[in-house]
Amino acid sequence: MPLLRVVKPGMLSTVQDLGRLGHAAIGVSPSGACDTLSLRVGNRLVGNADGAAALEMTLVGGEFEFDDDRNVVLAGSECETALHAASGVTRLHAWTTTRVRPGDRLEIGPLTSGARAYLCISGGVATTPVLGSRSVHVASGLGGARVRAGEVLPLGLRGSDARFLPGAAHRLVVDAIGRKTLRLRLGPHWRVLGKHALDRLMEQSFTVQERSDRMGLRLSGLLDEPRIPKTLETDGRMITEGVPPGAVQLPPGGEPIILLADRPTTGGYPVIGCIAAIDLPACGQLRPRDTVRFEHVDLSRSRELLRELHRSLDSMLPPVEG
Amino acid sequence: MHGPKVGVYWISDSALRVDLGEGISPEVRRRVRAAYAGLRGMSHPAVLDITPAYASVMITIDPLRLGEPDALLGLAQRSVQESLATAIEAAHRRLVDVPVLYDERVGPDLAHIAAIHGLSVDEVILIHTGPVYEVDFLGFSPGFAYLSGLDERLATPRLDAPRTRVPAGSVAIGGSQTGVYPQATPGGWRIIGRTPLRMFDASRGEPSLLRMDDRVRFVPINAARFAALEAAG
Repeated sequence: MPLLRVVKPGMLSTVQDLGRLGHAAIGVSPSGACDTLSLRVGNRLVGNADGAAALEMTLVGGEFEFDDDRNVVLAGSECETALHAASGVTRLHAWTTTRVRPGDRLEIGPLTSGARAYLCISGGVATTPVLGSRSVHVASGLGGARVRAGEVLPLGLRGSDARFLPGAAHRLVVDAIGRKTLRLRLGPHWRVLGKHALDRLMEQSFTVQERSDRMGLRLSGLLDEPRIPKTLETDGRMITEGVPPGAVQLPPGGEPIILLADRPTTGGYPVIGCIAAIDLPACGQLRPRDTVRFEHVDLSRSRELLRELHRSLDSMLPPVEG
Repeated sequence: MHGPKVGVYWISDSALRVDLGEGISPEVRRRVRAAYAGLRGMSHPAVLDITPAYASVMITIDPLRLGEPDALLGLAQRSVQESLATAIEAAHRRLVDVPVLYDERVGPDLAHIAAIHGLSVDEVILIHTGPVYEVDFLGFSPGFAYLSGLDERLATPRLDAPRTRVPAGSVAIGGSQTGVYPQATPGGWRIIGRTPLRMFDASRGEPSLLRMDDRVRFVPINAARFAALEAAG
């Protein structure tokens, strides 16, 4: 069986696909790639369906060895990559589809432009799905764990041919995932903010803290102590509700959290707004010390932006069938 | 036949919410259960997941497959109103017994809870194992069930700083709620015991031991029984 050998695991590398959906009612988080746009594009470049599983690497990549012929690409952050092959060492860039041969070793160093990069391999990573997905939920261990040195990951049957990313599509994707102004739709609990805090939310810069992970980005930049109305309160906390994708929570202490793929399904902190779906991949690329701002967007504009992006992308690099 | 008016609205481009009432009450919970059942029966290509909670149900969607937003909104509204109007009583609700070892070793906060409430440890155990609890919904982590029915004599505030790791199976009290941690995760609730049962196992046909609508009893066991059940599980 063809395998990917993990020589070095990197800082935090996990198998991710487009998520584990349909089990929220038993407390199962969606998980999946934090930057789904990069995963989709990377998969298309190596001839995989959008939802094929890849290796999500965080901040520092790993070192991997191949034992058969594969097309590979690094999608997401730019990273310092070297391909060690029989013919010598080649420097690789993100978004450039490359052929690897048996015995080749890919050495991925620090990620330079964003927090995450996806090693997309033709055939996909073929670990055993759990509850319909290969995604790993780090906190609970559902679906597996971070990869370790010496581990081997099975690879699937190769699908369609590799493709290259047209220049215009490259610019579209890099711009989308590199955004630092996040479009936010207020609600459902924006009223826990006082008037001045609401203004500040749209004017202030926030800094991503070190204590951020796949569950969420902790932002520093004090906003406001949330004022929870009595009707929504129990035990001094807000009544627990489902947590939407892109939720921006305001916990006691007043420093917002942007929730990511491993977010809990329910939560008791007020959600002051939701990041527009189009900007969720950019959230998955934010690194500690990055600064961000919020910009208001309404529902119809938010939908329009997402549709436009995907229409453009699909016209230049269509998804692979099946 | 008309049911009560429900609030169904978009909270973002990727989620709809259904509000079933204000606050926490058995009536609102009953409506959440009915609405959840109705929404699960909905068929629409954009629906990804359905998350019930105390007084609301959230529907997560894929905005790329949405089509006309109002069509889904209307479908959700009709599904909920029909299910509320039908008023099917859940005649068959499971009663699940959860065996628990209550002692200081697996329940480090047991003595603390007894002390602050002016009770003996035996009284705490008696009071905790008295009620038939109801599963309101699951969330926080896979298989974590929010239970209602805790005797208010045991209501205890959460820890100021959560423990970084609470052992899997820990039985805990947080505020006026009680529950069992299915996995070893950080946890801010007060730990009073441990169950040898696997509350969540992804390899089982039904991964979660508990589901919404279940009724739960805690049954005290001794260390020998704990070891036997743990080995059998």
